[in-house]
Amino acid sequence: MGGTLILAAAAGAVAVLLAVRLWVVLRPHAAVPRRSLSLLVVAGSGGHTTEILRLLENLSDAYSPRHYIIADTDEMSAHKINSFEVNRADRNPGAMVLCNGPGTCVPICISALLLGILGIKKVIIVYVESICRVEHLSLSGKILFHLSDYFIVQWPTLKEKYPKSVYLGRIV
Amino acid sequence: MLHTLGPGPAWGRAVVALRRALPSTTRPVLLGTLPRRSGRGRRALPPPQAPSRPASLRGTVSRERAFSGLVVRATPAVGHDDPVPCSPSLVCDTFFRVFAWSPSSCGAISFTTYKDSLKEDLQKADLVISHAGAGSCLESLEKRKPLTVVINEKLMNNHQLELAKQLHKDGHLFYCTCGTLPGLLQSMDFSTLKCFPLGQPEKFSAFLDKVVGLQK
Repeated sequence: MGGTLILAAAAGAVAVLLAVRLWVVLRPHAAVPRRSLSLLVVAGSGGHTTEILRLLENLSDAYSPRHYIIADTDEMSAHKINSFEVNRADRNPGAMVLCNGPGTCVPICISALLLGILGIKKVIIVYVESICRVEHLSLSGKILFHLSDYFIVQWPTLKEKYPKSVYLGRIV
Repeated sequence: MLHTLGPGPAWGRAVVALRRALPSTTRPVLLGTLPRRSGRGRRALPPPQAPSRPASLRGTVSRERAFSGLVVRATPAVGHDDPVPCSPSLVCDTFFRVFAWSPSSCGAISFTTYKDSLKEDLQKADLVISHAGAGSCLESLEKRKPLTVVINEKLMNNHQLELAKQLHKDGHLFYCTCGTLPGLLQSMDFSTLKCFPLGQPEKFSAFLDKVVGLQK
């Protein structure tokens, strides 16, 4: 009986601690000056990969090394990413996850969030909703709207519905 | 960004309609999956409305020239209710059968599976018919090509419809389903389409550099 109470109290304390850590990780942080930042890119199939490579084209070489996550059956994305990277060179650390909507990005982003909650590393999560989402967010978008550091939309209708999102116009 | 094209009743109708609607020289690039005809659960699309402002799109299709070529990308249709193994020769045979064409009368028809880039084909095209994927739409519109998109209604809650509707509302393309493609091809007027402004990815990189504190 006493043992059960102690266990329950311990579980409660851990839950409170995790909730506090989650709040700390999700609140806005001031930019930390840096010279480079490593990037983890979640590439979904076909159109998602095309869009995200367009976003990456304009990023400077300070965003490196760049790591990509793709589905193991997605040879087309592997090919596109290899072609994209063939002229670029790698460099140094930091940490950011960049994704644009495939369902595969949700567990990746949650893992990144967990690193922050556990105090291992603060990973910046940047989510860019696909241009094909004009009036409604994708399911990944709805989930990650609350968990990402920067949530970017590409149509004014979405900015109106989600005022806390970032709208830069069409960026692909 | 390269897509699949498969034979079947809808493909046959679309091709025949294409021939009737464009009796003169045009060289369309046909991209995109045309799903198998399904009698179940098909929603009627609102008829596309012509934008009110006059056109400013360069390189519009000339109906006086003859149909001279067709580029078809054919791979197995993946992700549909009944995928069709689709070799280029099977598509070719179907194409010639429904068109009643011979290679000498119809000009060059080329079939391809995956290509690193469709840039060259798009450059030469006078008309692009594509599925309504974001990548396909962007690539064709950026090349200033008249574009008609065929929505894949079976893909992920019909999400292609949102983008197609918005781009049509902005006057950049026509959209339809597989079933309404023949009618659209006969009625569409490309002179009403407007040029598509380029995206601004530099705004994304500037924003990101600022928020992550990257020093110049």
